[in-house]
Amino acid sequence: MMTKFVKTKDYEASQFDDEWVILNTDQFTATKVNEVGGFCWGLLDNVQTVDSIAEEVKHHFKIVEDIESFKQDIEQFITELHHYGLVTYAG
Amino acid sequence: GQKTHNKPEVLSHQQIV
Repeated sequence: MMTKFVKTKDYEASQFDDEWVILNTDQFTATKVNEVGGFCWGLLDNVQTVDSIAEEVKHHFKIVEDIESFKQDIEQFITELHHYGLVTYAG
Repeated sequence: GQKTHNKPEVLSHQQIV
């Protein structure tokens, strides 16, 4: 069974050039992510799996490689967001 | 055909004081 993730809360995110800053107003933290990270953050409005995020990233950024090649990067990113309290497990 | 460029990354994480 694939692990599902979703935003802990709809924390505000602001874009500065190619970077995004996510403000956690519960823990008073600011997390800066790159452009791809900001795109992934936007997807997490809805419940996602690593595979579903990878598919969306592949489509949006027109990546020719198979998603298997970068799924691990996405999993690591989501795990980090979870560690910072921005993402929670969904079901 | 752009891998590193398309890797989602946390660039920094800090407490707001």
